[in-house]
Amino acid sequence: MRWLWAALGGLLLVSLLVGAAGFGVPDGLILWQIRLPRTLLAALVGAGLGVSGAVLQGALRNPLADPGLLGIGGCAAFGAVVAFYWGMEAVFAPALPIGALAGAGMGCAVLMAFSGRALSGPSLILAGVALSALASALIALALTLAPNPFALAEITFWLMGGLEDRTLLHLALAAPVILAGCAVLVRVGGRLDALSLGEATAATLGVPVAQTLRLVAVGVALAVGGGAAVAGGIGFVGLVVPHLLRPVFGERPGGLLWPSLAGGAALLVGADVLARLGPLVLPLQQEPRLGVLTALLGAPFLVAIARRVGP
Amino acid sequence: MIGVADFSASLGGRQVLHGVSLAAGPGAFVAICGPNGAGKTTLLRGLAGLLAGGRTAPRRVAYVEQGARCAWGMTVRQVATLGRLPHGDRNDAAVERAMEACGVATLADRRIDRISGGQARRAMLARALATEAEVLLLDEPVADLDPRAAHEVMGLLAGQALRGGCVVAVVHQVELAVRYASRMVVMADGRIVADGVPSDVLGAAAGSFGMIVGQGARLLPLSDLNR
Repeated sequence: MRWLWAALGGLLLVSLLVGAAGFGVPDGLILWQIRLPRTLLAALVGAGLGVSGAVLQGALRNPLADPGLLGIGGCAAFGAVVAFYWGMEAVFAPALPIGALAGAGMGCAVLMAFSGRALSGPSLILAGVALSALASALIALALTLAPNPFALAEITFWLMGGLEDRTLLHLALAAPVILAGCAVLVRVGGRLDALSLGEATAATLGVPVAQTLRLVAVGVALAVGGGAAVAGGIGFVGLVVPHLLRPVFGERPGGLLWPSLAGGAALLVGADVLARLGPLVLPLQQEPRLGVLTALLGAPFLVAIARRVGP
Repeated sequence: MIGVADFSASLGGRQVLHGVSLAAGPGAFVAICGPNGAGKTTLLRGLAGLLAGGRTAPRRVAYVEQGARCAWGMTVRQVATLGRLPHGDRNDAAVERAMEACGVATLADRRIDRISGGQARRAMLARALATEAEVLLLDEPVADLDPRAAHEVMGLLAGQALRGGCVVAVVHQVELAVRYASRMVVMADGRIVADGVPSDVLGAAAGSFGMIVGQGARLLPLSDLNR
């Protein structure tokens, strides 16, 4: 565990030293206004995605569970798209993250309503799948009805996910939400262990199953929604991180929460450093989008894991 | 110690238990026998407090469901330690005793998905024993165990009862129930049709049930036998 925190610390430092101008210690203004918010946001968003993935996979007893499964990220994106659509962010810059946060909040409320009173793993998954389908449909609708091509391009660009030009204001908006989500999620560890024996057995061990799943959904909504509000759509981190860590930390779901939190943060900070290095070392006009990069890196990893996992 | 009185239950609109009453005290090892669909599992779930309106008693009643498995490749020790969850502690001595009693102490650090099915089943039993609950509710604890392991597990359960515990187990192998259980309950169509000392029950049940002896005696409805 210590090496993971050390790796995260190292990556944070590297992230502060890498920018459009290349390597080196930046001057104070750049450090505080540009590098620091971006670095901390990458760490926070990654931590939220990592711990959400670990908790969801544990709670649903499904190694394929991804925070995107609950549709909260999609709802946050829809909130952002609405802000774009009516040009709110042009008038009032924080309108975008605030709109996305509102979308995530509404998504969480709808998820709770969809999944009903007798919450179980399958009902939560079904509600989440329905919610993500709804969010994608609404986003597609907004895209087809976009008032001008410029808005269309901007929306598409944002949906790919990224952390460039984020400010301390973004950090101040997202950090409390993500941290609150993480705080909820790291506390359900022991209950996840019991849930790996099935919901009935967990109930006889004294685990309030429906309440736990509700906590999980709220925690994931906060951790992922807060992240999506400032970083757009970033996939694969929540799915891949727990898989990367299982061979090292064992498969007990409760034992994977802190490692996944640190690992998710390290992965996204590292990916964001790579994104910034892109134009410096490759003939690229601009940075590759962070969400595109995580998917590009994540897919081969997942294939490698799939080949290793036996029947 | 544990029981239900005039207990009825429905699953998906179909009534599967019709006013069943069953009570068991300390020292009892109750084997529930009967054909598939008789309501044995539902009765056990009712006793465990898992049906609508019921309440579980985590420290007092330990329950192992039919075909219990662990979704992740946790170690045997990690699974057994889950039995301490109701107490909120990690009583290593109790976990060690439970694994020892179930014969999985030597497998403690092996992954539960990398040992044999019979060993995994005994690891699940160790999880229940680690709780040190007064009542053990077990749904087919010896299904898919080889004869020797089945005898070991049944002997272990009888020992629990001798030490003052209360064991209620769904058992299909009649010869095991007769040999180890102190009481046999026979169910059919959601009702208890016989209840008593195993040898007596077998005599009484002979009227409504036939017995086939092959790889293991099982109680079957006569209608199945006449087919």
